[in-house]
Amino acid sequence: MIWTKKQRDKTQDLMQKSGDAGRSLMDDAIERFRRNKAAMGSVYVLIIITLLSVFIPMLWPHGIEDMSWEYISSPPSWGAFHLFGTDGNGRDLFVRVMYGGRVSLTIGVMTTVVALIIGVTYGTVAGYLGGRVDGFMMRIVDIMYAMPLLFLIILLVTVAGPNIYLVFLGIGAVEWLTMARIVRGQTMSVKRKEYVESAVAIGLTTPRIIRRYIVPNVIGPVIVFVTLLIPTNIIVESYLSFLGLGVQEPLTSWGLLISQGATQINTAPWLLVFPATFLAITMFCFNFIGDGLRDALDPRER
Amino acid sequence: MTDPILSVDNLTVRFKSPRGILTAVDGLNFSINAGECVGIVGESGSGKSQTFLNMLGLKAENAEVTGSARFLDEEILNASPHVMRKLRGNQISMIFQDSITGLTPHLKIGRQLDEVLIEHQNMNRADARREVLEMLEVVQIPEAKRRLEMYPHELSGGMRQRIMIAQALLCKPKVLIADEPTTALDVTVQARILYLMRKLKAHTQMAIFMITHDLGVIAGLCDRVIVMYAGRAVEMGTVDDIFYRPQHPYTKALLQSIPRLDSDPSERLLTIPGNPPSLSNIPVGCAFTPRCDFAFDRCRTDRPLLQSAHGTPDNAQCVACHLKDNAA
Amino acid sequence: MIRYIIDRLMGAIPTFLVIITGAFFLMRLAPGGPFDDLADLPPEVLANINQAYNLDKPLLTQYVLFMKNAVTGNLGPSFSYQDYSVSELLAIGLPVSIKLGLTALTIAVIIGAIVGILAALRKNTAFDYTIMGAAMTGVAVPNFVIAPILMLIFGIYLKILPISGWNDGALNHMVLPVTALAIPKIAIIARLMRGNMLEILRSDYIRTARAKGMRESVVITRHALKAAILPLVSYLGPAIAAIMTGSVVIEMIFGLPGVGRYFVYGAINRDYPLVMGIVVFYATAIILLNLLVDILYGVLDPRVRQEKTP
Repeated sequence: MIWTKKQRDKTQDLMQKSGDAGRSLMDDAIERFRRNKAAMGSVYVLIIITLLSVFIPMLWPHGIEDMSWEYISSPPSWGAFHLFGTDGNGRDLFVRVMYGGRVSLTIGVMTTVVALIIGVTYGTVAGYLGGRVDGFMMRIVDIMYAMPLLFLIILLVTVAGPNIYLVFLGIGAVEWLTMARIVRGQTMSVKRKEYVESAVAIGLTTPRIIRRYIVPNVIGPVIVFVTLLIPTNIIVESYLSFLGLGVQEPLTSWGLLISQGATQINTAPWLLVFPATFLAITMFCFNFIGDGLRDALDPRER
Repeated sequence: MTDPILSVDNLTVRFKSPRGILTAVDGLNFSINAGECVGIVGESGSGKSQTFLNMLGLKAENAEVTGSARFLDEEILNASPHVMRKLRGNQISMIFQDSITGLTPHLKIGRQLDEVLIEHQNMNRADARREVLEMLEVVQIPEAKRRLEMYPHELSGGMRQRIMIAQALLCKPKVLIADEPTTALDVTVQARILYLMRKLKAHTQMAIFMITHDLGVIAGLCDRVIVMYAGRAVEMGTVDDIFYRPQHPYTKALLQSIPRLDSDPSERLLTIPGNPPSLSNIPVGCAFTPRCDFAFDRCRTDRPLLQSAHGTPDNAQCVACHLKDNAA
Repeated sequence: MIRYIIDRLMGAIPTFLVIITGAFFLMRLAPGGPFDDLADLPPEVLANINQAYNLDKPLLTQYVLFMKNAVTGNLGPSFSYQDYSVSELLAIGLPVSIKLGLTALTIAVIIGAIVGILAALRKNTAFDYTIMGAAMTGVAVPNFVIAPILMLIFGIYLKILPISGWNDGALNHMVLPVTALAIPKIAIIARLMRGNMLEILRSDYIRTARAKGMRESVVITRHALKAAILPLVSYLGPAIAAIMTGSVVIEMIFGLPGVGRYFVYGAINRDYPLVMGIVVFYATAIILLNLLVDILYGVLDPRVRQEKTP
C-alpha cells in the first residue's frame, strides 16, 4: 500500500542479494545502518513508544475507561493529570492513546506474523518444488496482486462481523503476497547450493530439508521485509477501525481514536491531534528504518 | 612539426567522497596531432575514461578538475557548459564502450542520429537524414534506410557500435575519443569495427584516442601509447617502443600477460600479483611499488617523474621509474 | 501489439473468474445467514426471504445463477437498502466516486511527476530536501488524518471551504476531498519519479546524449523524460487501487454520496450482496484498468510493443 511496485521489486531484488552476502558484507551493512542517524533515532523512538504503551496503562492514575464528570471534553491540562485532555465521556486521552498504541502495535506485529507464516511457507514450498506447481502457485499470487486487498478484508469483516481476531487474520491473509515472492526467489537460489544437494543425496525428506536448510537461509531477507510490513499493517488496521470495521469499543486503537477525534474536530481538536501524531511518528520511524535498511544493503544508492 | 591539435597539461581529477578525496587522474600530460592515433592502456580504474570524460566537461558533481587542456589553442578545461556543449559531438566526439545501454532505448535510431546534425550544423531534417545515410554507408551498415526506423534493441551489438561510431563522426570531428569501443563485442565483430576504425584513420585527418585494456587493439591501430596506472602515466612512447622496448616494470608485466601464438602452451600465462591501489590511498612514492618485483627504497618515498627514457630529447619514449636513473 | 493485447486479455479472464468464485464461496461459507439477526421473524417469512434471495437452492445452482447474473451486470438486491438493487446503488454512487477519484488521480499524477522530476534535477538542494521531507510526511500520514486536518484549517478556522456534502460536484465542495485523497499519492509519485529520474540521469545513454553536445533541455525532455515516466505508468495500476481504497474513507469523512459510503454502510449492516457486488465491480474495474495500463505501457515502450513472444 505504501510501496510502489518498483520499490518493491527493487527491495525484493536487494533482499535476495543480501541473503547470499558474506559475513563481512552483512557487518558492513550493520555498520552503515548504525551510522544512519535518522534510522537509529527512529529505532530509539520506537522503543520509547513501545515501552510507553506497555507500561503507561498499568501505571497511570486514570484507567482507560475511567470517566470523570468534572472533565468532559476538557483540553490538555497538568492539573488532573489529563496531559492530552479528555474525550466526550471524560476519559483521559493520554492513557487511551497509550493503550491504543498497545493495540495498534500488537495488531501490526501479529498480522505481520500471520503474513510471515503464510508467506514463508507458501514461498518456500513454491520455490522448492519448482516447475508446474511453482508456476501455478505464483499465478495465484499474481492474481491476488491485482485485487484491492483492503476491500477483501472488508468483505471478510462483513461476512463474519467485526472481530479483532478476524482483523488479525484478514490483514495477515492478504498481506503475505510480497513475502511469498521474496521467499520463493531466495529459495530458488539456495536450492542450487551444494549443501542442499548433498542433503537430498543422503536421503533427507523434503519437509525436513525445507525446515533444516531452506528456511534458515531465507530468514535474513525476510526480517528486512518485516520492518516494512508492520507499518503497512498498522495503517490497514487504522483504516478499518476508522471505518468502524476494525477494533470496537471498549477496546481502542489509534485508528479508532482518530475516527472519534475526527468527528469532534471543531470542538475538541486534541482528540484528533494526539492519536494522529503518535500514528504519524510511528509511521515516520518505520519508514526511516526501512529506508535505512535499504541504503545499508545497497550503498550504491547514495 | 605542426602544433598538436589537443594538448593536456597537468590534468588532475579528484572526487570528494565520504571516504575522503579520491584521485582518479593525477597530473597527466600528453598531446595529439591531427591524423595521429594515441592508445591509452591500463587496468580498469586506472583513470583512462575519467581523463577524457572530465576533459569534456562530462564530470560528476563531486569531481574537481584542475590543470589545462587546449584544443586548437583554446583552453577547454572548465570552460563554460555552453562552449563545451558546442564542442562535444561536433569538434570532439566520444564513443563509449557499452553500446547496449549507450543509445536511448525509446528513440528511433534515425532520430538519435539526425539530432546531432540538426543541433550542431543547423540542418533541416531532410538534409540531416541525407548526411546520416551517407555516414551509415561509411560505417558499413546494410539496409541503412530501414535501420533508421528501428529502435536500439532491434539491432545487434556490432550494429549498435557502428551506429555509435557514425553518430560520433557525423560532424566530422577533429578529435575522436574511443572508450573501449570493442570491449563488449565478440571477436569477429571486434575485428570488423577495428578495420573500420583503421580505414577512418587512413581517410580522415582525425586525431584518435583509443582507450582500451586490450594491447592487441593498440598494436593494430595506434601510433603512440600512453600506459596508465592509478591515474598516472607511467610510460609513453611509440607502439614499437612500448611493444619491443618497454621500460617500466608495469608495462613489461602487461605485455607478459598477453597470450601469444608462438609461446609454449604448457607455460603459464603471467599475471601481475596484487591489485591496483585504492584511489583514496595511493602509495607515496611510485604507485606500482607494492606489486613491483624490482622496487627498492626510493620507490617507496619518491614519486618518479615521467622523463625521457633514453636521455635524448628527440626520442619520444618517456618512463616514470627510478630504475631508469639507477641504470644510467 | 495485437498479440500483446490478446495476451493481456487472456490473463485477465481467469483473474476475473477467480474473484467472482472466491467472493461467492466466501459469502456462502460464512457462519449463519444474513437474516439471522432477524430471529423474531416467523419461519415462513424467513423462508420467503431465503427464496427471494435464492438461498434455498443447492449451492451449485446458486453459484451458476450468481455467475450468470454477475456477468450480465445483475448483482442482486441490496439487503439494507430495501428498495434498491446493488446495480442501482452503484449507478447512484459511481458518478460521484469516479469524479472524485479521477480528479484526485489526475492531480496526483501531474503534480507528483512534476515535483519529483524537479527534485531530481535539483538534487541535494533546499528545494529537493523540502519536497522530499514533505513527501515523507505525505507517505507517513494517512489520508484519514489529513482530511480532518484540512477540514479544521480550511473549513472551521478559515471558513473558506465547505467541509461536507457534494452539492452535485460543485468546485468548492470538491477541493478538500480531492486534496485529501490526492496528497498521499502525490507524495508516493514524487518519490518514485525522483528516484527514476536520478537513476536515468546516471545511465549510459544520457551520457551519450551529453557527449553528442545536446542541450541540457533536450537531454532531459527527449532522452530522459519518457524513460522516467514509464515506471509511473506501471504504477498507475496500484495507484488506481489505492485511490479506490482511499476514496472510501474520504467519502465517509466528507459525507459524499459515493460508492464508498454504500460500501461501508453495507459492511457495517452486513449487507452481503451490496458489499459483494461492490467488491466484484471494483475488482473488475481494476482488472480492466490494469489492462488499459498494460496497453498504454506497450504503446509507450518500443521494447514491449515489438516483443514477438510473450
